[in-house]
Formats: sequence, C-alpha cells, structure tokens
Amino acid sequence: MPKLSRSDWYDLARDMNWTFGYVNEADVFPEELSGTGRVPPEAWLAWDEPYKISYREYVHNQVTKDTTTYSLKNAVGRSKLFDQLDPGWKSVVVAHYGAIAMPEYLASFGEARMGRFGRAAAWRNTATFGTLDEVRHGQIQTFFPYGLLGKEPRGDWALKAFHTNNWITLAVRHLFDDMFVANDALSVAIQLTFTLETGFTNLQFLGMAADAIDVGDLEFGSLISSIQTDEARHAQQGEPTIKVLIDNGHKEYGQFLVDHMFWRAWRAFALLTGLSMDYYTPLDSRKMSFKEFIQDWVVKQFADQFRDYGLDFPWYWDEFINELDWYHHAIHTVVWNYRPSVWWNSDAGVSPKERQWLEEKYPGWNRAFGKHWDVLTENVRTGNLAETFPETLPVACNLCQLPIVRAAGVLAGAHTDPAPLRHVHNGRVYQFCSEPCRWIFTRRPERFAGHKSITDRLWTGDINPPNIGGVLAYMGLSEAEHGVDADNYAWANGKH
Amino acid sequence: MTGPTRSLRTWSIADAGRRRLNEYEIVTKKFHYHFGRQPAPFDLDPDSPINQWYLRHREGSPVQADSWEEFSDPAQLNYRRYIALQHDREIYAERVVDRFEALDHDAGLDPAWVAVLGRVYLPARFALHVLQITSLYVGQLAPSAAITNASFFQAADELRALQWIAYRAKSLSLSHGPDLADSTVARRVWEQDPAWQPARELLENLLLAYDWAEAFTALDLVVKPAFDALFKQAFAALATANRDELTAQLLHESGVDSGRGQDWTGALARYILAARPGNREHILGWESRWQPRVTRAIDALAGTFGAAPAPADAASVRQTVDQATTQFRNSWLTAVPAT
Amino acid sequence: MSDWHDVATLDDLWEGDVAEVAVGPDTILLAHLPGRQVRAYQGICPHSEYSLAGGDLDGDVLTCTGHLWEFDLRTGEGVNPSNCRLYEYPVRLSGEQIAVSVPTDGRPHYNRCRG
Ligand code: FES
Ligand SMILES: [Fe+2]
Repeated sequence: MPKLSRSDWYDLARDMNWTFGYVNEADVFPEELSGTGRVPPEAWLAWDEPYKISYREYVHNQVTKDTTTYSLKNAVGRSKLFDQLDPGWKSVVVAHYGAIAMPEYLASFGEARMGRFGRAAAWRNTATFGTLDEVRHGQIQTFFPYGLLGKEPRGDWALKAFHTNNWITLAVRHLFDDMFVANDALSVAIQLTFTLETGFTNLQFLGMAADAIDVGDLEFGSLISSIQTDEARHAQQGEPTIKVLIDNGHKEYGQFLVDHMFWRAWRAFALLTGLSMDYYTPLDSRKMSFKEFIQDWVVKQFADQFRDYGLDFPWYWDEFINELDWYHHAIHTVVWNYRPSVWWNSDAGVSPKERQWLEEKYPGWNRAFGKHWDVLTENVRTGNLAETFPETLPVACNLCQLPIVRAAGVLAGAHTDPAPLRHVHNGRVYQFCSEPCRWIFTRRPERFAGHKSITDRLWTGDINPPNIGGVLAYMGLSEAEHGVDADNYAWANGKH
Repeated sequence: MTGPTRSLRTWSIADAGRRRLNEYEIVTKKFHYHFGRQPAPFDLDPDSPINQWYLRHREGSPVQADSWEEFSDPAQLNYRRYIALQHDREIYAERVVDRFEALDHDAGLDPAWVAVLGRVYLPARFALHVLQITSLYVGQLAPSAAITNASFFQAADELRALQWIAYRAKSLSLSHGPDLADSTVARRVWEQDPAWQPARELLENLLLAYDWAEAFTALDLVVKPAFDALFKQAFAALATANRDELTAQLLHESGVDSGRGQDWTGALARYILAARPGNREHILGWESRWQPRVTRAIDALAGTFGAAPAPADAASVRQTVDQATTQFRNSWLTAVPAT
Repeated sequence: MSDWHDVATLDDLWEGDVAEVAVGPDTILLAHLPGRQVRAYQGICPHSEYSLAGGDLDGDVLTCTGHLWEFDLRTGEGVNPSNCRLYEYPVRLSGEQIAVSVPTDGRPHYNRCRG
C-alpha cells in the first residue's frame, strides 16, 4: 500500500476554490442551477463532508459490493425462489421497480447538478461520487427486473413506467422532478439528501431489506441493502449544506425547503411504503405497522435533525401526525379499486386476520375503512365483481398528483369537509388534497402552474375517449398489463 | 387470473428485433425518456427555469440527430464494468507508487525539478477539477444516457487523476518542503503565475459553454485532448528526462483513462457529423472559436518546461501536443466525409 | 462516583461480537476484540442515534449502519470522520464475567457529533 493515508493528502484534493478572474462568478453559478447565491462565496468554503472517501477507496469498495450483489442474483436466478414468493410481496417488488428504478437513475442528474454547481470544491467532489452511485442504483434496479421478465413481465415497468403517463408515474415523476431533476444544487442538497435520503429512504431501505430477507426474497434484500450503503454515504451532503445556510443567517429559507419537501416525501412514502408495509407484505413478516415505523424512525430522525440544526418542526406537523392514522389507508383503497390502472397486482390485504391486525394497529380502522371493504367482500362473495370497480374517476391533487381523498379523511374524523381545497392562479382553478399541498403550490405558483394533472388532462380533452377505457390506454397499460387482485380474491372468500 | 399473463423476453420499448440485449444496452438504452418530451422535459411548469434551461441548451442546441439512442459508448461501460475496470487500474497505480516509495524516490529528486513540479504539475489539479465538473455538466445535459454515463465516468476519471496529484503534493512536501502541500501556494500559482493565466482564462470560460454540444466540443474535442497531451505525454516525457519516473508513470496511467475518453468522444463526434449535414459546420465553428485560446494556454505552459534541469524547449512541447491533437482530430473529422 | 454492573459473560459475547446492554438510562455497546479485549462505549451512534450494536465489526473497526461512520473500538476514536470519539466506560473482566462501570453523576454519558 502507498505510504500516505487518505487523511494525509485529502484536503489537497478539495482545495480547488479560487476567485474567478476572467469571467463573472455569477455566470459560473447561475442562480437557477446553483441556488447558492444567498450565501457569500467565501462562506461556502466551510462546507465539510463528515464522511470522506477517496477514488481508490471508492472503486475498491464498490467492486466488492457489486460482486456480492450480482453473484447472489445469479445464484437466485437459477433457483425457484422468486416463484415461491408471496403474491403480495411480488407486488411490493414490482411496484418498487417501476416507481423507483428510473428516479434513482435521475438522481444522478441531481448529484451532477451539485457536482457542477455546488459552491465548494469539496461538495463538488463528494457529489461526483454521488453521481456514480445513482448511476449504479438506476442500472442495478433495471438489470434485476430485466432478469425477472420471463417470470414477472411487469418488471418491464422499471424502464417503461417513465415513458408513460400512468397516474402513479405522474405522481412520482412530478415529485422527483421537483426534488432533484429540475432543481438547483442547494435545494437538491437540502431536499434530496437532507430531507428524503437521510429522513426517509435510508430508513426505508433498511426496513425493506429486513422484510425482504424475512419473506425469503434474498435477491431483493441484498440489492436494497447494498444500495442503502451508498445512500447512507452520499446523503451526508445535506448536513454541511444546511449548516452553511443556517450559519449564514438563512435558517428560514432552509426551513422552507425542508417543509416543502418533507410533506412531498411523506405523500410518496404513504403511497409506496404505506401500502407495502400494511397491506402487501404477508402478515407473518410484518414487524411493525407503517405508522409505528414512521413514528419510531422518521419522526425521531427529524426530531433529532431539527433540534441539532435549530430548525423547527414543519408548520403542518399536527396534520402530518394525524394523517399517519388514515391517509395511506385511503390511498390503498383507491389503488385497489382502480387496480387495472397500476402495473402491479394490488393486494387487498383485508382477510379476517389482516383486518384484525389493522384494527389493532389503527384503532378505528374498522369504523372508517372496514365498512367499505365489507361491501367489496360481499360483492366478491356474491360474484358481483363488476360492482367492485368504480365508475367515476377521482380528482387528482395539482401538487402531489395523487387522488384527493378528503372524504376518507372525514370518515376518519380528520376533516369536516370532503371538498378539495382550491386556489385560483391566473384565472385557472387548482385543486388540492391538503393544506400543505396548497401551501407548497402557492408559495411558488410559477414553478408548478403550467403542469396538468391527470384530471386536468381528462377535462381538457387530452385523453380520448374520456372514460375509464380511454384513461387506461392513455396511462400506457395494455390489457394484459392491467393489475388484478394479487390473491385472486382469496381474502374475501376466507380461503387465504 | 393471478400471476403473469404473458412472459417477456426483453424490454418492450427497447426491443432490438429478436436479438438479446447485452448488459450495457439493458441498463443504458432509452433511459432519457425526457429528451424531446412535450411540452417540456420535466413535470414542472414548462416555463420554470430548469425546463427552460434544458429546452434552450439541450433540445435547442444547433446540433441535432434523429435518434441519439443509436449512439453507444464503444467501451460499452455500465457502472459495474467501469468500477471493475478502475478497481484494477487503481491496484496497478498503487503498485507503481509502492515500488517508487520503497526506493525513497522523492528524496532523490533534483530540487530544481521539484520546483517545476510545484509550478506546473501540482497546480494542475485546478485544471483537472474544471475538466471534472464540465464533464458532469455535459453528462447532465446530454440527450442520451449513453453520452451521460460516459461523461459521468469521465468526470470520475478526472477526480482520480486529481487525487493522485494531491497525493504526490503531500508526499513531495515531506522531503522537499511544506510549501508543496500548501493550498494557498498552489492557488497563488493558479491565480497569478503568468504561465497559468491563459489556461485559467480558457478554463474559466469553458465553464460558461452551456449549449450541451458546444460544451462537448469545447471540452472533449478541443480543450481536454490538448491538456491530456501536454501533461500525460509532454510533461510525462519531461519527468522521465528529469529522473522522475514516478510522476511519469502516474501520468501514463492516467493517460489510459484519457485514451478511453478519446474513444467515446471521437465516436460521438463521428456520430454527430454523420447524423445531420448541418452539424459539421457547428462543430467546426465551435472548434475554431475555442482553438486559439487553447493554443495560447498550451504555449504559456510549454514555456515552463525550459526551467527543468533537463529542459524541453517550448517548440518541441508544442509539437508533441499538436501531433497528438491532430491525430485525434483526424480520427473523427476525416473519418466522416463532408457532404 | 460510579457503580460496577455485571452486564454479560464471555459466553454471551464471543470474540468478534458486539452487543447492546442497558444499565439504568445508559445504553451501552459491548465489544469483544481480538485478544480477549472487551470494551464498553456509548451504545447509540454519536452521529444520528442509530444503535451501534447493529453495525459491522471488522477487526477493531465498527461501521455504523446509519451512515457508515467508522470507529476504532480499541480506542473509541472515530476513523471516518476522525474528529468524533465514543464515550467509553471502564470494563472489568473477572473470569467469565464482564462488568462495566457507570458513573452515578446523573449526567448523560454520551458524545454527539453533528455538523
Ligand atoms: S447514525 Fe451512525 S453513522 Fe449516522
Ligand atoms: Fe396533494
């Protein structure tokens, strides 16, 4: 080994900060791409990544990780392991690949944004590794489902989803474009690495990996835990960034960026993780409920961060805590009702035993949601499957792009009025699922206003014919791809 | 009704017509779904700043092709292969350093040569950093993932080269004085030494080339080939002449990355020239805009080679650079006949 | 002032093992390093409060699962980042029995390193 250790020379590889002499510094870091202009250039020199890695260490570590993960995939691929997995769990995996593989790849744009427009050489170098990491995550999470195509053709959505206007894609794409693809370097650091990766994904990936191993999905488990180790490293760009911002008197702006993205991250998690943890994962393998998970991990994590950096809880904290009891249950119902419109098979997850678990974890679940499932159960039992499909379409929120489910909020006692919230901007009416979504929109309407939700597209004639069939075709789903009940209704017939 | 209703043999949207996709294609093709999307690449307001930035500098670039997806990196590097490759190369570089450290190589260097290293080689980390972050820019603005990924890997290659220089700065400082590892000294050279100013002017301006194809042309067809030739060939030869085989070998090793870089950038240039008749004019126009600045930068730096105990004159340095860059230029320019 | 507490035996904690034990309000990490060396440190990571016992021990170096921070458990010093050390409790081995000394000062025995 070369005689010097990393710490001997590392500072000399991140001291490439200088005063521009031939061009305007403001032109090198245009505010719309950099976002760092609030803080004077010299102040950014304090940016210091806590965890340090050199190129040598990076390639040596990563080659080991890749070797481990890919060889496990090869071993598992030759076995019957995947076929034997629980159908609900398969839905977790298929939903995950479609919703997450492409965003992970796109996160390389966010990292590269920081790598070019971040205001300190140390930051740009750290983000260079982050860029590579996200290329890895995008590629590995498309390569694995590609290997499943023979057994699970809906793995196709790992690549295909973002080429479509599926409503789930729309919600995820809008979120991630806002968060890191079409965002400036400073906001990427605070919204992607500090808020999402540190606050949510790192924990979620740890939890998901454990669940995967528990249900026997070794391939997915090793994939996810391998990814988590990269995320855990590059997520640490958020802390020095928020520190520089706050030390230079811009706590309020940092708080705004966090508040904006924490809510959006919560929405996405309720959709993707909420359904997985409380409905799709087989009962025996559930270690905690989604609500417990968020409380134990996310809430605590954020409480720490807020305290350490002198930030406050987001202004809508009570509403967020309140939603832990009902929001994802409402979204689950919508996803299941419109199951042909998603690329995975929705797992109702409401067999008698599961309902008992739900009531235990969410006292009042039966009162607010059970009745709806009673009716569906009855329809299934009496052979009235057609009755289980709704005839009208829900209205999508103009911010989070998810269906507005305030009516369920009324049932759960969280809202008094089922009507969507409204806001008029330049003569156009926008509808929202919640106060925080409306607040995010109205703080920067010019950022969002020209986008059309799936509901807007239906009303303005982009979708033809404007009925369920037309919508499904518009969403890119061939008939063979329409999601079906994951358990073939065994839950209703008491056979599960 | 449960379970798969049909099975698929390949991506439905990247079907290569009854041919198995290889791993590179599986994880590269058709990833840039947002290129050319209507009404804007990203799902924010079409007029929001970054949508407009991409519409102007990517979709709106004068250089166009019917299908950017047809271009492939000749090395077909995906992440996994890039990392495996560089893992091996770093083991090689570590062995080189080991071998020379065992001989206490640095201690034997002529102080006059170390002064040249301090003036030319060590401050080069600023230049490499600009090449690194400009590669990240080209990567994030490129119209296809094949270009994006190759460009991102190239950015990492520059960081690799830069870190070995940082390593050497520290290591040299142990036997030849702490100034060599003093950031303010290196920065002063970069900001004030007349030999570096034309290069600094060039590289600061390179950061303002925002049209993606201009950034690609300036970085990958003009600036980087010249700097790579200057350092990894001419300066490496100077190091050998001054009995500094360690510096020479590290530069040669980094030259392997540059060679891979020229493989894909040359291939992309050929692809661009063949894609549309109008492209040649734009590429050559940018080339002629950037070339004079590069020439001035190389000339000024070449002037420093004469201060070495075993010197090289500026003219011969220029000739080395010219030869290398002309050869690379021919590889993409003359390969595609003008129409 | 401090009190000694029996917390585990060498049969619970093999060489190469780490474990978490609780003594009153203190969460303590025990580690059995090569060469019959047992150490006790704060059980919660100084970075962001993940449990250190969930980390990976390789030789003397423990990597926290939270964000990969590394600590040299022979000394308690941070390896990466290097400016962060773990609070250490004295350890006594008598035969098989591992005992840890916990100060009775009513204060948290816990270092924090963030930002
Ligand atoms: S919590 Fe241990 S490294 Fe972050
Ligand atoms: Fe919303």
